[in-house]
Amino acid sequence: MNAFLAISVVVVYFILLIFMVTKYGKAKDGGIDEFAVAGRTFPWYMILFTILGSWMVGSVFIADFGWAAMEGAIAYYGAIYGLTGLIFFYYIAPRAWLWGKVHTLYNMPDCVGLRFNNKKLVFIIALAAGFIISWPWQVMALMTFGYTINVITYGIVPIQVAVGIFAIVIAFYCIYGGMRSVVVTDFIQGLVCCVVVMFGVIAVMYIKFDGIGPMFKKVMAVNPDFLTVVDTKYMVSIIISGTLGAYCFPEIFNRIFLARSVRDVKITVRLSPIIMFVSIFLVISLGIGGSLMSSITESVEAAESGFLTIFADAGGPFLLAFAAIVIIAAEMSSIDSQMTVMGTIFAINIVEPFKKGGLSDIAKVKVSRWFIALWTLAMFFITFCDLPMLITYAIVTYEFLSILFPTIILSILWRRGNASAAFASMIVGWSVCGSMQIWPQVMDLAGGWGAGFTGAVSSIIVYVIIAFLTPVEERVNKLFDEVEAFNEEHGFKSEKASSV
Amino acid sequence: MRNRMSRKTKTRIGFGVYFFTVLFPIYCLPIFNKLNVAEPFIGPFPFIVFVIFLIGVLVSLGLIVLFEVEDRRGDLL
Repeated sequence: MNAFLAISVVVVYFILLIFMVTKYGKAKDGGIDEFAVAGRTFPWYMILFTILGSWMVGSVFIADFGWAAMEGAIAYYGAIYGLTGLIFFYYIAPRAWLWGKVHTLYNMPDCVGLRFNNKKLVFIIALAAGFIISWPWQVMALMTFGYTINVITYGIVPIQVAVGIFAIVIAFYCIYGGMRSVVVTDFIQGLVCCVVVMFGVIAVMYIKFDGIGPMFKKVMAVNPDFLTVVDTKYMVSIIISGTLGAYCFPEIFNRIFLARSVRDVKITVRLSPIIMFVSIFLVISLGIGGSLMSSITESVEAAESGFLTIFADAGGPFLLAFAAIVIIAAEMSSIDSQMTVMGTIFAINIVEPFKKGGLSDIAKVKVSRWFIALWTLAMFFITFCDLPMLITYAIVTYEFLSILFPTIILSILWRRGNASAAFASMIVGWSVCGSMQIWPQVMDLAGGWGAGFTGAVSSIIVYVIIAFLTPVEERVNKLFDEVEAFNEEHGFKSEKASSV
Repeated sequence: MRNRMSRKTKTRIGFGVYFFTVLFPIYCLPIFNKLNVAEPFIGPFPFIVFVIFLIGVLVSLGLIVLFEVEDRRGDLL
């Protein structure tokens, strides 16, 4: 009966998503502009939830919740780096959005190509950020879904069956409507995993601990160390490397291109920071409260499924199903955009450069769709493998990703810096990061700072030095000046914003 | 245009300094270590948790104000 209730809730949720996709998420035409960036037509409230959806990934409710239950306040790092990531988002958005509109850019490697005019650099960025770094996160998303469904059905639905269903649903709507269906579903997913979840978490805090204050008082009495940060240096290190790496994920960067105007991109900061911050803050606080439950702290695995455990304990199968929907929504909102963006990157930045005469618009969409189908299938089969080091590999890839910060983000904010600076920063940053991963004793030379942090700082220093030693390219000057020219030509004012 | 800093750039740099200042207690280890205590509780929160919460609210408010200023001036781009 309990399993039936849980399955029913998940099935109803999937039916709602498929209804939304078929009603509002259908691609308006067969071109790549529609498939990759949904014709750049979305208003701010759609962009808001797609941004929130990309920040609230499933690991917040699994890994971070478990970390809070096992080690306490250090798990708040995600709330802080989410905010600093949104600051960068606000600062890079205008130029990236305008370049996207004027130069018909579809993804982050396109933006790097426009800025540096170097095909090899574009290819490396597309391969590294788009594929090598993304796949472990997708495998983890699929496995999380399978595990969640297995738990809420009390083992009736096997993990691999659940993973298969999830992969089919995701691949269906990504192939069907491209970015439009992704944004439409992310609207619901973001609403669930960022807004609705707040009410659920507060309700559980009151049911289990009589409120947030009494909860912290109980933790203070039992585990006072959980109310301080165990390793401040490590926390600062992961906040900084997380911030630097966040907008180097192609699917997060891609959100900028989806808006109908720059105002629609930037107005999201009225709500996105506070919603994102409060949601993560509450989830981690509940995780710290979870440290009071022996069923959560008995092992790392138990802690990582603690979000489900605590909801089941507070409200039986109904709240368990609610918690499961939250996790599923968080995972879907990140994996769907990853798949779609990877599909377009594969077509535009990997296949097209090697095809004489390029690809037609229709062919690009076709290649993207085939890629999504085959890649999802590959990820599905990888979930069958025994991958004990997957989480470690995912974290390491994130550290390598943050080294791309000067090439991807700094280059949009600053007109200095050319392809040589980008290559040099990547070589030095990856070498430093890689050395510290292979020989951890090297960390002592860096004063105990993490590999991602040290690598990113090294890459920024190298980029800045070379940028100052080389002249600003006239082509880049023109790119930066065209933002001002566009502003003056269109008389950009708030009341006219929607037309710009 | 390239030689003189525009009003828009000055505003963005000004708010950048604000964000840096608000986040500084977390990034500066000696300060962070001093703030890293559970007591006294402030409202329902342990001290360091309250500090993190306050930083979150101040950064969020800063972004809202920056947007409103730019929007009013027509400087969003």
